[in-house]
Amino acid sequence: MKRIYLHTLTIRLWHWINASIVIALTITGIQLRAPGTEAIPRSIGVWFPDYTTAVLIHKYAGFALAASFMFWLAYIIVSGSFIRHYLFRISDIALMGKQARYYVIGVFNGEKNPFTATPTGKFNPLQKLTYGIVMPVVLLALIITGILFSDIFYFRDSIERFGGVRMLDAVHVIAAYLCLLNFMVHLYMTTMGHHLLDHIKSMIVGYEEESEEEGRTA
Amino acid sequence: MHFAVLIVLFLASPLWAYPTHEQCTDCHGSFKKTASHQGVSCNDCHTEITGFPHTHKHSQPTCQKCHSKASESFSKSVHQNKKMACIDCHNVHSKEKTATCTSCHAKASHEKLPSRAKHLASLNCISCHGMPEKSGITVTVKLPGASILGKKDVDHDGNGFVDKTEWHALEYQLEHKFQGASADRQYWSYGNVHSIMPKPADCSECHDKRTRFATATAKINGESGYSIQIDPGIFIPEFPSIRDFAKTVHGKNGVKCIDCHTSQDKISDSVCSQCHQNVYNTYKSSIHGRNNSAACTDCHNPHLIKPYKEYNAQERVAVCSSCHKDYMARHKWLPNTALHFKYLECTTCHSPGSEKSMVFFFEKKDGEKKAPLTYKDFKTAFGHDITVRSVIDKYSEDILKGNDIGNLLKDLNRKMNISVSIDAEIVVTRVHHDYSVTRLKERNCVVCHSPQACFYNSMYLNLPGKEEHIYTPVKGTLLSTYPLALALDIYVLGEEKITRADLDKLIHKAPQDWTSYIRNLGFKLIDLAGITMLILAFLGCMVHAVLRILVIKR
Repeated sequence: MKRIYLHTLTIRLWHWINASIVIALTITGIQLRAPGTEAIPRSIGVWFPDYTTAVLIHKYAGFALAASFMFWLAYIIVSGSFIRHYLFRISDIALMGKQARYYVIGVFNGEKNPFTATPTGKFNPLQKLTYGIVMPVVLLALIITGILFSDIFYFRDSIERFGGVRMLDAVHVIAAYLCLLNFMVHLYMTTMGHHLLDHIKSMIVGYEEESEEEGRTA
Repeated sequence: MHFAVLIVLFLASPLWAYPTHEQCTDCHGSFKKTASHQGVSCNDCHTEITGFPHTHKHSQPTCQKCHSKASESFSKSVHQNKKMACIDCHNVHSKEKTATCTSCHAKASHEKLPSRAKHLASLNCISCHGMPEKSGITVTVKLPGASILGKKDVDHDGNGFVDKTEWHALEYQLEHKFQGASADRQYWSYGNVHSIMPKPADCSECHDKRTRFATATAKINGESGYSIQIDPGIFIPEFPSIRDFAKTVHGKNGVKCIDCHTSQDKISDSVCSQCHQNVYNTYKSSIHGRNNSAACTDCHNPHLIKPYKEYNAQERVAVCSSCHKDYMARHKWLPNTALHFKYLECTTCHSPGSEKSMVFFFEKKDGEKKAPLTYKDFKTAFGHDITVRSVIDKYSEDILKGNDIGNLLKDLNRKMNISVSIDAEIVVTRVHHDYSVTRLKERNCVVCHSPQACFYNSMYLNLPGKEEHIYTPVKGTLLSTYPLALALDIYVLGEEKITRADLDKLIHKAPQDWTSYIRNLGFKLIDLAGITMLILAFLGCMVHAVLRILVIKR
């Protein structure tokens, strides 16, 4: 077993703040899209905001997400993290199949994870691809459409060029579903560490305990 | 010889046979000749009497022979229509005065005449009932003692005409500078008394068209002073509302000025309630009525051409906000307050008894400006000889469906050669005058932002007709399906959330007709696909997890 320092304090703090924002947005987002669903948690005594409050929470949490996204982008570029961890290299293409095969078959046969996270590269090719699509495309689309939604009057011209409120809503919701999908898979993948909660622990303390054989996925 | 022939002819003529005036008055002694008929003998008028004594009763003579002009005027008069004869007013055989209007119409009440006392004291009968040949207003300004007013003191700009400002300045001087000064007005008119009109002149003749009293003259410093022209509008105020009154809803329904205006006082609710009894009863028992906070005319101007149903949401909000000025501040709790008030009127929420509808309308885009399509635009596109109604009928028989509107819009775009789009607002189409619902506890966005919102059951397309707007019922989910690209602007957030009914259709209807199901679903497809994707992903993760656990255990 060895302890590898994977996550800096800044990125750990950012991660959990971002996670809180995403959770707030997901909960209020579901409430806005499917009004009435809040009755389910309320029936077991859990507090839930009313619709108006939910709209406001969603709006300001959305602004917070935009700020958080900007911070993350600046940080990974300035710290060099982008080049180390996120940049998709040609060599990654060949490894993608291997990684996929591991998740679908290998993991059940007790095979070794073809990828090992190191401080110089903590994402496997599939993660790089996912983050490469989710962050700059899906999340950005979600944030931009969200900002346009925050004041339909003010952004009226831009919305019109975009194709109208209807189109804006469609893009926002499609992006939200994709983010939700990513969120779900992300949560599941946190359980794929050496021990069940290893990945989550590493995001708190920064270090990940890793066996010599196994890699890292989350 | 010639002279003898003339004597024979004279003796043989009927003139020789007419009775003399004295012969007539021997029997008809009570008939004295009037002053005006001096020099006229009986047989000048009674031409049928050719012998003395006459054996048969003669018919009434006509006055036309001498009084042709008066007779012609009289032939068009209301009195002629009532079968009256000259003699009914003019006693031709006596020196008695001719009858005046009040001889017959002493009890004319004029009860419907607005400001009755004022009008009756100032005007003679001809002013309204006749066709005055000359009329005007004379204002005699008298100053006390030896005081005089120079022309410069009256006509400040020296243009020979006293306008409103100059007159008010003069009035101020008379009141404050010259104690005991007076300015007496006289409304005079002369006309042919024989041409009394069947119906009196209406208010507009003086208060708008000025066919009477079109000039006013001020005599300054009394009779011996000088005269100057003065704006008649000072003494007979202009009512611009009369001009277009015929185009208003009241005007079109035959309501006349005097039906409502019985005095110069503000119209009271009791006047409106004469016709609008039910509405008034509802209103009276509502919070506005109970507190006497607003009279009918505070919100409704009966002189406006535009009927209330043609007001857009913002114009309707303006009516309420003339009193409720702080409406924006009070609705801060409402997300996107300004946006809501652009598309909703106050009564959408505050009058639960009213019917709310989604009203679509076409608007043209000229650069950055958007304006609703007018009747003129419509005529330009479809031709001058056809009506808006007939155009709509070409697309659909009575209820417009999504693709009918789509086709109409496409044609408009093509024919007008400018960008036409469709927009909508949610307004009240059947008004209930009880606006007592305030401080809505509910504040529930889903009342509108859901597919169950009441206005989806009452949708109209509003098109500009020549006289009035034409509301055509619209059916179907225009918004979520065809014409998608045309209706991108009209969108109430939440209208496309998938509902239980959609899911029921997925199970029961979709297997038979997939394409129609998907088409009708429109944007709702996003939710269906999204939720399916998430469920599959969740199940995938679960299966993966279970398999992993099984592997570990083994």
